[in-house]
Amino acid sequence: MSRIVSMLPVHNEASRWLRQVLDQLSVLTDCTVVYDDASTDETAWLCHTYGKVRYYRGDFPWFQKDEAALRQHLWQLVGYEEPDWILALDADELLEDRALVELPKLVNQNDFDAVAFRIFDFWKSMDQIRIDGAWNPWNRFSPLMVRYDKMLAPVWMAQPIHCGRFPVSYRDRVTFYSHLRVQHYGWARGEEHLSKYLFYRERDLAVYGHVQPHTESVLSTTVTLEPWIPLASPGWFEGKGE
Amino acid sequence: MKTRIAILTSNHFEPSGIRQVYGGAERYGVELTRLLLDMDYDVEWWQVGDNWRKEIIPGVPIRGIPETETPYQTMPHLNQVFFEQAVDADAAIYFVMYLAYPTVFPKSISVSHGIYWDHSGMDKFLPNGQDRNEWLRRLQMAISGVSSVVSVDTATINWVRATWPILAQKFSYVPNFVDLDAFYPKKRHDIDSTSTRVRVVFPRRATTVRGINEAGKAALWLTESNPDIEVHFVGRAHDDAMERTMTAWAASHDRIFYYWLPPHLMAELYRYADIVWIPTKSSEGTSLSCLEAMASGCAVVTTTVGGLADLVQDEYSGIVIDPTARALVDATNRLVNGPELRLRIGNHAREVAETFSLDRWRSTWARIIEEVL
Repeated sequence: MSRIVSMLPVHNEASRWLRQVLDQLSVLTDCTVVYDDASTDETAWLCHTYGKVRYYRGDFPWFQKDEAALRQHLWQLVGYEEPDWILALDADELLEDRALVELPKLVNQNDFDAVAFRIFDFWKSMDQIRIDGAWNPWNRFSPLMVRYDKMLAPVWMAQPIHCGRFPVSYRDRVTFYSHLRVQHYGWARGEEHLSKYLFYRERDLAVYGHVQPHTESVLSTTVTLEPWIPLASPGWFEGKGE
Repeated sequence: MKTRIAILTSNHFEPSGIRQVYGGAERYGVELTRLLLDMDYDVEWWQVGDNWRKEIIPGVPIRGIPETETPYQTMPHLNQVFFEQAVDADAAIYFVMYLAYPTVFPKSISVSHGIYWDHSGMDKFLPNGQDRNEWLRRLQMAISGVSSVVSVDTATINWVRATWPILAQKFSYVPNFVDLDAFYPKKRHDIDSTSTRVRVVFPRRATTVRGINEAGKAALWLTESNPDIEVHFVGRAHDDAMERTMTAWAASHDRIFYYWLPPHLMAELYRYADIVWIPTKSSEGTSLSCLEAMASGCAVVTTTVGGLADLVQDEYSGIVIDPTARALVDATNRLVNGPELRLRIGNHAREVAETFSLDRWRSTWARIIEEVL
């Protein structure tokens, strides 16, 4: 069986979705490598309650200065775990429940080296998603799982933000586009929107010299939402049909 | 130095390079690539695309050529750019028959995946006799120019024989394949004899030519009238909007599912299935889905379109219907209410499928390649 290792950068996540994420990753993967970017809350304690977590901590916040450097370091730590496949999620992302039985079946094959998923942004609630403009999850897939290859250069795009989850050399791998959906809860709490907007606004100005339209759309008063539809896995995935 | 084979297709990926087309022809392309690699050839693919470079399987490149025009249902500009870019190749495979117009490599093979000019949309693209004649002229040139044409079905060869008798000798009938080691019936001890649940699978892309609308209507009628039936729609659509619609539609009905799978999981799905729908309306060869379902011992309900008649004999190795929702429902109800009929047809289907083995397909293709080279 292929060994799946997940990589998770975290920063003050204890009161957010970290418990749910680690619960899920403990079922889905053989090991989760956490890089704690100088959290000051209970994140460290929480991580240590999971037997499959390899916990590393930095003393000074890194993400806000140079996300690429942080991810490159985390990638190196993941390599120590000798993965066959690497799943890269953030601490506010969960695969939908049916992935628990379906995802492990995707990796034991030689047809593709990456798996991409649609990411759904939950908007000010846990039961509706945003679908207007660049928020539309239906017209884009994100590669979040790759087959690990020691021979590929572990170099990230030289960009301090939105630098991708994998090294540049992992782009354009033969990819399977999965029906499994990723639930992103980063925008599920409306009270956090202003602070997140200000963070991304500042980063946009530093990187691009102007605020990106997608960032501006965070505070838009006209958004299009649709309900999140929970989907059950067909019985055969769980061996009920055999 | 290894012999180099260049392959030209239209769309393995969508021209954007973002979305992979998941049809039988694309899986055929992957299997053909594996065969060529096993024969120790260098392989490189080209298709329509905005100058991107990707891999078709790990280690085998596919390049995009930014030529999208399709005058008279051919792609002469794509053909010519390919001819220039692949100039170092020792031989070429034109993965769709019309792509071999107007120029061809001296050593070349083209592939017919079945008659695609049998759907009503062709009238839109070739609206008058003049246009149709020009299309035929180009198709005739494409067939004339290559060293050999591999056809997945007899329908195409017979059409050519009736249209241009002398060209039929260019053709070799190499029907599609099934990996008999991967696709096999469920074991006797795995059959739950106490279960009354009947699983129906539509293992096709969610497109009109594959009969998605008729299948959807039949699924509603059947699941509403019989609580023991569940229907699985397993295949991607042509666009995101359709996948969104299918997801919401399936979720709003009990015992109707919509999802898709990578090829290596399809065998598991078929072992779970009892009845498989292949209700094709047009543009069909010898469907891989049909063969895999048959090899898995499923009772197939299908039509006579394209190469399907090469695979299924009515009431023996499957049930042949007209592609309508009513006919799908009637055939399915017969199979649901007649487990002996289901078992008998499934057993015969497996026997028939054994004559379409992957090993046989590989050795026939290998012989043709060696003859051309």
